[in-house]
Amino acid sequence: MRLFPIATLTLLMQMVYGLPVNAASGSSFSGEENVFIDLTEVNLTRVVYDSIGGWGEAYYQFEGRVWARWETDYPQAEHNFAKRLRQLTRLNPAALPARRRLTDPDLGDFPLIFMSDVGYANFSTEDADALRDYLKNGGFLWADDFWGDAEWASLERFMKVVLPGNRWREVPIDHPIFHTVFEMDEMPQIPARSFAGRGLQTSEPPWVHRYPAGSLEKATMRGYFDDDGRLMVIGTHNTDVADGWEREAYGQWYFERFSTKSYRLGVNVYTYVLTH
Amino acid sequence: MLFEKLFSYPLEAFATGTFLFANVFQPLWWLTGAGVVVVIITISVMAGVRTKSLVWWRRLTIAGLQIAVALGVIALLAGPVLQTTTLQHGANNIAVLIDTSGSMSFPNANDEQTRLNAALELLELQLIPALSGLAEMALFTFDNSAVRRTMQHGDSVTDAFSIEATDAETNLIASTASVLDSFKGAPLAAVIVLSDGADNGDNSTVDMAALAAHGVPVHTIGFGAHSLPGEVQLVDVQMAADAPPASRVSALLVIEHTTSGEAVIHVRDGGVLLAIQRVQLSAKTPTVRTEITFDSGGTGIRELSFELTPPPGDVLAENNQIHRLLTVNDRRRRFLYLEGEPRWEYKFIRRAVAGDEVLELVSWLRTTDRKTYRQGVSNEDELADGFPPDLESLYGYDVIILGSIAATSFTEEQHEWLESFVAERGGSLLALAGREALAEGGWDVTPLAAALPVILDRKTGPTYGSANGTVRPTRDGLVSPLTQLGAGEGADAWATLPPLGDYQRLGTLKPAATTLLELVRGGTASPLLVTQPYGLGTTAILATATTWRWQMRTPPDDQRHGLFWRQLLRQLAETAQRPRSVNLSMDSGGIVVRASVRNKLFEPAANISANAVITHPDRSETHLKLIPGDVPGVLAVRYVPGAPGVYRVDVSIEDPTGEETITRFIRTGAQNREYLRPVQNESLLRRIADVTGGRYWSSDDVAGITTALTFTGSGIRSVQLLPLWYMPALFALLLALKLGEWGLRRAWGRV
Repeated sequence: MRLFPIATLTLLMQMVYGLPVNAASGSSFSGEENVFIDLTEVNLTRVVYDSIGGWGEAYYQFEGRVWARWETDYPQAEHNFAKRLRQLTRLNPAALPARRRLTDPDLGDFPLIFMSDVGYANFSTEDADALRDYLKNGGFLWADDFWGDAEWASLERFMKVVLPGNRWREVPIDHPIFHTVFEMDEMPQIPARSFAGRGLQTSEPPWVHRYPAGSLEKATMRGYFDDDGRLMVIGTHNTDVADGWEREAYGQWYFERFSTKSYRLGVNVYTYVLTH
Repeated sequence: MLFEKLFSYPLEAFATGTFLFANVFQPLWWLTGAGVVVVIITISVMAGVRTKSLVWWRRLTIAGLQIAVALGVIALLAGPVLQTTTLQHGANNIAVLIDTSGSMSFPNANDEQTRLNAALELLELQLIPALSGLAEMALFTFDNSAVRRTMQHGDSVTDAFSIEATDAETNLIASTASVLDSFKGAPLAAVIVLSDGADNGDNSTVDMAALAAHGVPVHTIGFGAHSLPGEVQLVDVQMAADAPPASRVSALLVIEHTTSGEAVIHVRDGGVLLAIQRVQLSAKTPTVRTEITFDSGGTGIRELSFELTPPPGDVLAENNQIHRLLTVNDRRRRFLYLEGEPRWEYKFIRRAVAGDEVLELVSWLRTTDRKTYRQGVSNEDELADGFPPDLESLYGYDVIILGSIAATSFTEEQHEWLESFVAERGGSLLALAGREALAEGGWDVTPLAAALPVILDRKTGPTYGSANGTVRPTRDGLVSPLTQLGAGEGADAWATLPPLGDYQRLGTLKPAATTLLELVRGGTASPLLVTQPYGLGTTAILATATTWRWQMRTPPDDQRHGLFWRQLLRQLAETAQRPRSVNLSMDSGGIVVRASVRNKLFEPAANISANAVITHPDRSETHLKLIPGDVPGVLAVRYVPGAPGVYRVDVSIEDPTGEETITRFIRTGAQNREYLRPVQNESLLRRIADVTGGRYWSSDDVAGITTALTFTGSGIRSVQLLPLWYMPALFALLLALKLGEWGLRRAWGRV
């Protein structure tokens, strides 16, 4: 979730709250504490990263607390998703999600990592090097909840550093990732609950996203493929899949219209990554 | 010689003769004996008078000595003789065999002369003069077989034979046996073998027994040093004859040495270096076994050369190299992976074998309670119902991998099929750990439980859970082809792998089980990879499902996870039986080509035929038809090869389901085994002599051989009565007895 990017308030907030400009999160923000990692389970793992800017960019306030960009939807999205995975599939997900920085030495214990709201992400060279090794080893990155052109460009710049010889390609709807468990005939656009309406419009407003946002109308999945044709990175652009998990209980209509699609895509993606 | 001076005759005469008295039945002897008794009694009475004042035991001693002298005299009068048999001069043959194999060109012990020259010199200067009056000598030379040599009067042995020690093989026992056979019906007193004992033929006990059955003593004369200081030799290389492409091949090398230092092993395929490894030699361990691994490469035949570079001081360079053939075939192996839940191990096993030339992994994954996901299937129908629909389809796979899948996922019939897949089809089955695997999955009450290498036990609580431990290969694991990670790294390659994150406790290991890998936690080791043969097949359990950590927690260029899985799966597939197979072997009769044909249910096939095309080293061909034998489904033919080299054998097998040509290679006679163990094999020479009733002689001292041949052995012999009464030893004994008595009397004051 995000509030308006009121950049001009950043300095004021820094003075009032004493928060850092590059919010590193981790222990600075609330969220799930690190838990014991049981490798007999599939651990849902959130990537902790730094973001550029200040108030409304690197961090924001919502529902009475301050969020770093990396922890958008965290950990409720993972809690709910783990429950649904257990309910719908034969996966054995850990009840509590893990969170790791890209440079954490045990990142390899989490072959699928999830990052959200990456539009303001500020990755270092060390982050790029670590992610490159992780992906070459067979790890999988899912970037979600970034909207519009500027936020896409932010991730694109980073991935060019990570895998310079590769490029983003749109993942067609007939790709197995859309069909491993549930048959999907479109890439769903899931808006944050606070922007979701009952009309046909499913995209979020451009002014809540990084400028210039451009068009936010069409949700796409783009991916990086490895030499054997397997997806190793996906970016679910112009959609907020994790919000569909997080906010499943925020109204039946939202659950039925959006959360079900989020779960269907989530189950398919996880099953794909666990089988390819 | 001293013995002969004292006892008048050689020891062999006493050892083989019977002791008799020649005069006991003559009246004169009785009269003389009676006179002697009277004299003795008289002397004793007189002595008794003189010794009356002595204590009783001194008197007893004196009396005893006197009686002994009396008995000795009586015995001499009785005419003691030795009844023995001796060789009848001029009526027998003695076969002399001279070893002319390559090893006889090596220096003899402690001199510059070759062993062969020393043997010829001994023959010419000692044996021929000594034996010429005793028997007719028949001279033979031998290497892998014996050849009779004739010599004109006045010829020297060397000139007559023009002998050179060059042959590449020695068959001492078989050659001796053939010489013995050639004398059947002719009087043969003995066989004398002049050799270093370097027999590199087949020294089976059957051959030894056949030698002994002739009843002819074989005397062996040994040449050559008993040890060569500084000598290092590559004695043996043990490895599989076949391998899949791009797999790690393991070879076990046996090095024998009498030195210390560093030796280097190179493995080459033609001129291409495949592997290099250093080996430390210690004087305390004269035999070193070391394992070396290398890549099999692409399909085809590898003419491998294992070369040992010894530390300085090596005596013979010719025994530092061994050749082996490796056939790399590209037959694809089909794997069926049944998995009950999406999990990381599944993903990374699939990735490890993806794109592999040999491994064809077909997987069936239960994604939800009602949905499954198939990968690697060859058509839409394969595994459409979740499990092969019939036994024939199941038998189409070489290996089955059971993941975390409950036994209740299968019907009773399918459980029986799984067991028969191993027992009757001869397939391999690998069970992985998991929350629904092994005992946790209820497999302990299925027919497959009998096939697994452990007794599954779930009575003592949950068996599967989180763990943190490192992997260590056992002694078996270090050399097993199933568990090879890299060239020459041995246990180090395992020690640096990331720890595993889970473990499934196994039950008691069955007697035939072999533990290849262990999980070490806090100093305690638990079996991790266990295998056992079962029926015609093999089962294995890998008690973890977190080997994926070896991929994800190592640098991207670290290939050990992929190597581990490809190697394990390929080798499991290698042990799986194939419907059609061809085996080549060598025996004394030549190359044996054997084809085994089974139908789709792996029963011996009927209505089969097979033809072999043997391509010689000079590219010429021989066509042969394989003939059915006593064993159903097996055809065989024997072929006697010509020139040594690599022979290619293409066997076309035809059965009711179709035709297939299988190619195999075999190398004949290329290895010069004469240089192996170049010291004198005294123990073999002694054994031959012992079992035949002959004797081992050192080449330095054969002086007694004539006597030995005279008194022992077979052939035409005559009975001899050898008088013993003039034996110096007897007179010396009587004199000693009387001198003893006299001395005692002096000492006791009664003379």
